[in-house]
Amino acid sequence: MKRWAQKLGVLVLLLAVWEGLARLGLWSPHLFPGPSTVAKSLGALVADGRLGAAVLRSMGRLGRAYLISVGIGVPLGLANARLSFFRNAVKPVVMGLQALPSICWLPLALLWFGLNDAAILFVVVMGSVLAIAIATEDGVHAIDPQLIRVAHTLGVRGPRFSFGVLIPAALPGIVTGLKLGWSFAWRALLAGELLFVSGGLGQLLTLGRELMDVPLVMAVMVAIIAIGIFVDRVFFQTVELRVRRRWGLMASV
Amino acid sequence: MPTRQTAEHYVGGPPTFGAMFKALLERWKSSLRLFQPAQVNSHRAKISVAQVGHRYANKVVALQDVNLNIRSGEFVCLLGPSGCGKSTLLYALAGHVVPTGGTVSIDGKPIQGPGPDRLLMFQEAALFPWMTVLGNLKFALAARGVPRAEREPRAREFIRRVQLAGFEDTLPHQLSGGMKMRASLARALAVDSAVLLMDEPFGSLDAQTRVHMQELLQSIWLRASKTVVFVTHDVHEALMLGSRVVLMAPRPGRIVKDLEIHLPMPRSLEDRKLNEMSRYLQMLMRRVERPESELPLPRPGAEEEVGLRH
Repeated sequence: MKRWAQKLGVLVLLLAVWEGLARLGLWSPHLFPGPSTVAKSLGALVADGRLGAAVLRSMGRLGRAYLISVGIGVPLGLANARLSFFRNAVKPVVMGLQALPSICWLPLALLWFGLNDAAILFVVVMGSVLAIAIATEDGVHAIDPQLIRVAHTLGVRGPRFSFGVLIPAALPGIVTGLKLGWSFAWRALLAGELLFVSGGLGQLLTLGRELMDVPLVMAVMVAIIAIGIFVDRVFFQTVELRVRRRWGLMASV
Repeated sequence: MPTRQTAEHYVGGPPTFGAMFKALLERWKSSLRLFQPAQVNSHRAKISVAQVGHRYANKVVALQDVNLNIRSGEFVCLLGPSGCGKSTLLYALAGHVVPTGGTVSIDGKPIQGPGPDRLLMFQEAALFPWMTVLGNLKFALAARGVPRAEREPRAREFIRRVQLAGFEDTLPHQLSGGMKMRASLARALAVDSAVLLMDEPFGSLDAQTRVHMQELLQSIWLRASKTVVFVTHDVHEALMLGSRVVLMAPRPGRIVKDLEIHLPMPRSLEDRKLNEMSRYLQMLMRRVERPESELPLPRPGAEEEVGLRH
């Protein structure tokens, strides 16, 4: 209870400072609106449905691209960890491509796929698939070798080993990878949407800039933060905690 | 019996040195009669280790010219100080280590890699952490090819046998060290392999739990007809559990003594004979731990006096 009160207190304090600075008029009110102005703008966006539509568009792209990333990244990571061909030949390519910031894929994507959703999907996938693969591979390497030895001793082989032992044992690492991949995908998506305007939250931001409507820009930023926190904390953190608790990786109270 | 008469003699005046020594001699001799050198024909052996040597990549000679034949149903304890190659030998029997020299065979056939017919138990319980105790056993049974309907009753039976009833649905991280070991033992028993290989499984448990586990293992072994090879550095544990003790020495790893223990089972740690045999084995172990050059010279004639001869 006390922690919540502390967090809330700091938040209220920051908002108060912000409002105070805005009222003081150090900068033009057009450039530096207070939280009340931003809240009004946010309310307007929600009321006329623009925010809802934008969120749906963005999240739809993100969801599709993320599922593709996971579908490619997890098996790739598992292969990199277990198969010597992948470890020797494919993994260096993965590590090399990882060095490219995801947004750098956009020019190529636009040329390949044209000015449509596929280009953004491509950018988001390329931004997150490698992170997921690397984290999955680390998850496999972090498995206690004793568990693998016991599995072999018990005669567990083939699909029963891969799905019954390997993936569950690597799951804590895989979940971390999924969380990381989501984070990269989110960033890649918004960067893509800002550079290539085609609906979604990125378009709202660009609209705000073109109209020189700072409250609108800030309102969309607040919405983006809220979504990011919601998905990360409420969804991924919960899943990660439950996995770690069941696997016995949490320190007992 | 001469021993008892001499004991009653103590009640009178202070015993003479000669009388005391005679009593000690009699006790040594009667205890040593309980040690018999083991002689097993390799043709009738369940497990046969022939001239096995193993050299690790860093040139350490873990095993040198090891010959061992184990009969079906025996409880063999591999006893020795650290570095004597007992674990290496066990892993060679399991198939996890391929010896650089010699052959290991089971039922006459040379082994090729690990398998559930020779189940290896480690010092860690190594239960799958995302499965409950029941889940762990059912998974092992599924891997063994047991039909689905039979898995749960069989798993529950073995959980009951290791006295873990009521904990079927607990996760491994909620169990204590001893309980994890019992679950691991239940899993090993459920798989029903003919041979159980155990690598100091009770080493990480506290003394009380260790005694309970030893008694449990002994009672289970007496009921089933499994061949067990048990690695330990604890002499008392070896004498408590084993029908046969194989003493090994380090540098290079080799077998020094192979003795059958003729004490009735189930055994108790308070047994006087067991403690005397333990002293004898401990003396041998101290000897083999040091290279010959550093051995302190025994009192001349001491060995003849107590009837020990090599």
